[in-house]
Amino acid sequence: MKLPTAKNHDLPTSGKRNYTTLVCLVIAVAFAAFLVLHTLLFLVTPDLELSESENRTLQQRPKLTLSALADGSYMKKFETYLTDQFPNRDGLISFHSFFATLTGHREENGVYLGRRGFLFEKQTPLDQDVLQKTTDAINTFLEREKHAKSAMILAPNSSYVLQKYMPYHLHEDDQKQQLNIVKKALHGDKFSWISVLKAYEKAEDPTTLYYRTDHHWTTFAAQRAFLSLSSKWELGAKSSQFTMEPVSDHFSGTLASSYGERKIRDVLYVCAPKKANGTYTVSYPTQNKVTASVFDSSKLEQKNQYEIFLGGNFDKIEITTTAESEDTLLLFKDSYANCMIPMLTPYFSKIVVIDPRYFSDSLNDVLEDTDFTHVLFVYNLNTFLADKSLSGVLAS
Amino acid sequence: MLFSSATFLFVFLPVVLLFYFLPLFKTQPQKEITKKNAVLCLASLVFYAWGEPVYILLMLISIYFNYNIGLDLAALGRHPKQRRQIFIAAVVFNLLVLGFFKYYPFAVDNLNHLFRLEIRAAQISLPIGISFYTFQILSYVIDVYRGKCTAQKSLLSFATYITMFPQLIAGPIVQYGDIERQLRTRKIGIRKFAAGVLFFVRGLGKKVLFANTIGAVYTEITARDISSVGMLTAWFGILCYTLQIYFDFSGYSDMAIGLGKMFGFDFVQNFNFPYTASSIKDFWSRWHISLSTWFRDYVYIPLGGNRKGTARTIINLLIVWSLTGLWHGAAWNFVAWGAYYGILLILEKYVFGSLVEKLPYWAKRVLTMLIVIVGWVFFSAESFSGAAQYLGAMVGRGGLWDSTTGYLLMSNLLPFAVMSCSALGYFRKFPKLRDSNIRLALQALGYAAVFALCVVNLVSDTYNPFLYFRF
Repeated sequence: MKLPTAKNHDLPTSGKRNYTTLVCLVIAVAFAAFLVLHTLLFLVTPDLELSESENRTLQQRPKLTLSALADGSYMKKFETYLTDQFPNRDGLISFHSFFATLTGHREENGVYLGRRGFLFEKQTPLDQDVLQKTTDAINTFLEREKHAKSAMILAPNSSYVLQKYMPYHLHEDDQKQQLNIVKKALHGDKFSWISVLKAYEKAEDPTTLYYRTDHHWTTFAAQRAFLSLSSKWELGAKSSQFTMEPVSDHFSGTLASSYGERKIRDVLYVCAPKKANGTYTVSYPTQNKVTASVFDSSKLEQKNQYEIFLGGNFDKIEITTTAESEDTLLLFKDSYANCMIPMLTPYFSKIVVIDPRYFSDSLNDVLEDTDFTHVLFVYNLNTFLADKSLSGVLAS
Repeated sequence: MLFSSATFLFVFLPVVLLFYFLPLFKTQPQKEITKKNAVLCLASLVFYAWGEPVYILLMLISIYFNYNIGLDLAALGRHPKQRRQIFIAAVVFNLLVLGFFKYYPFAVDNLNHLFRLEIRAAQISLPIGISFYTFQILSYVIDVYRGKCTAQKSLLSFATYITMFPQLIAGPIVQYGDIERQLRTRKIGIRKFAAGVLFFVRGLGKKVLFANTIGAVYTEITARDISSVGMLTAWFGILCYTLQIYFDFSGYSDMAIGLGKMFGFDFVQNFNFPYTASSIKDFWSRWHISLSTWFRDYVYIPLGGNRKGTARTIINLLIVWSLTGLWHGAAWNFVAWGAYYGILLILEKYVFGSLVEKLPYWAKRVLTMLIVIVGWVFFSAESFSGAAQYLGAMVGRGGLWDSTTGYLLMSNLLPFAVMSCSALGYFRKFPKLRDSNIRLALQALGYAAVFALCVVNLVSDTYNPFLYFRF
């Protein structure tokens, strides 16, 4: 039996009459012109080295070798080369983002676009086994260091705190409940749980607690949590003792990078004690670097301005202060802590900051070196739930 | 090489068109078609080698072998016994090649399971398009053996038929008989070229703008813990998959048909609004038509079809449909998917047929769609148990809805509605404007916009921020 072939009159466009030859000619020429035009544009636009918005190098014209042809890597690189060096690539990408938003789309690369320009990081699902391992390790560690005062600051994500700005009222897992699960899993004689949500309650405008373009909490949010900690540990800190200064009004963070370039910018504040009680040194042993400030203002020149706090994330940082205090602090943290560390400096003569994701030495050496009076954990819920490095470091 | 890649659109296709149409070197008019076939064949080999630099040898061997088989079958006209032996050997060889590359790991897996063995299957990657071109070769060998076609004497023409890049990697499966004449003489011209352009752009749009966009919803849902997926989300997810697979596959077929037209070929129509079907039988006469025709012509009818009594018909249907399932992939869920249709077709034919006939038209369509959608659950799942779990979510084991249901619906509502209308054929006669010039202009603009948007999507898909400062 003969099947019908797909004939011209199957075209949805043809209607009653077939196209005239002229129309056909126009279609054919337009199609060919489109392909040729692209090739011309491609040839005249110079190849770029870097994509700033993506923070990566772009594919250059690949070298043609026999082995690259045989294993197919040449073909892959060639395709990447064409798309990476596409004429007006950045323009096309932002048009796509605009068009997708127009059709109702609100998510790009794991980042939601909410109302009032807020971008939200997707939540990490709670994995019972991973969490159990981490909390067990913390409990064992607290038991070992039971003479020290300890505390945990676990910050929820903006998607929970600013839920009403989430797109189409999306609400993900209940983070209050997740925080409670973590809280119940931790115990120690001198351990205090700092409720960040409670600390947030005093904020008049919750939108000041998180950046629109970045996944971190703002310095204001960190200060609220810090004041809570201060009253638990009786440090006697008051907000009037600190200055809050804007250092940048064009901060565009990681969420904006993931979602695709947006026009909205955040203001980045730093918080420092008013009374500069003496000098302090910040040393980075692995990097063989010593500075005299917890701020690195050269980072304001680069894209990720959040690195102004301590210059970014490092395995181990030792801060020695001239504070009139015998207290010493051991801090385990992710990057949420970075903007809070300057507020801690007046209350401890020594602060050792460990970022378990980069730390590969033995923690025992650190503990033998200093007899810490305080131990603090500062994390963001998303990182904490996904973290697999803290348990290993605490046991080392 | 995919049609929806920059390499194909902006390098390969322009160069091939250039060589195909420009009189770069002088040929006698009667040799013109040979030159064109040569350009097409060479281009197809480059096209295939681009994606499978190694397996092209396999394809070349296969072509040369079967070309000679064809000649032998023609030469042995007076020796039916020998002819039969050669024919059987050829079919077995082709099936073995397909079987080895496609089903070897699957077979080893099952043997291990059955006999508690621990044979380690060598890692073999599946040569692209092997399922399609093997079926084309088989159609040739069988038709020459049956005397339906004469053997192809020109190796070039035969190689052009097998390798032809428009349909090489995703169909439609062109039977040799349908194209034999076109290899010798075909009408190539501006009208066909223009029709081809429109077909191609439409197919590209279906694939890039529709299938890729809506497919993300289902991917996202199945990446979750399925036990917490609400009923509404699960249904929305599988509906999105239903749209994705249709637009993906029919988009590819449209692009193939369009490219074929540009080069002067007329391929068989492969999809005919399958989601407007009013029975299972109707669905399969509209979905992947070239495949179901192939199985009908080369398996079902040779087995005796429906001429050997009810019991035999039922067995034949089951065989054909299990094979159809297996053709789609080497896994049990594909076999189950095929058998599911086999059983439903038998039931429709012998049990429910007359009952269903009495239903109103809309109810028949809804019923058919429900069956098709449930079928896609089996088709899309990674495994049999995965399909069962998803079906569990569809009957509400994870609650009526979950916290993301509203968000998923809202953020995809517009694309979903547009695509549904398109799949159901509501845009076929749209827009109904009286003035044909305005209509033409609008359509031209529409096609240009679709093509431009496709390019925008292809480029922005490569947006890949490197976040070393993620933490």
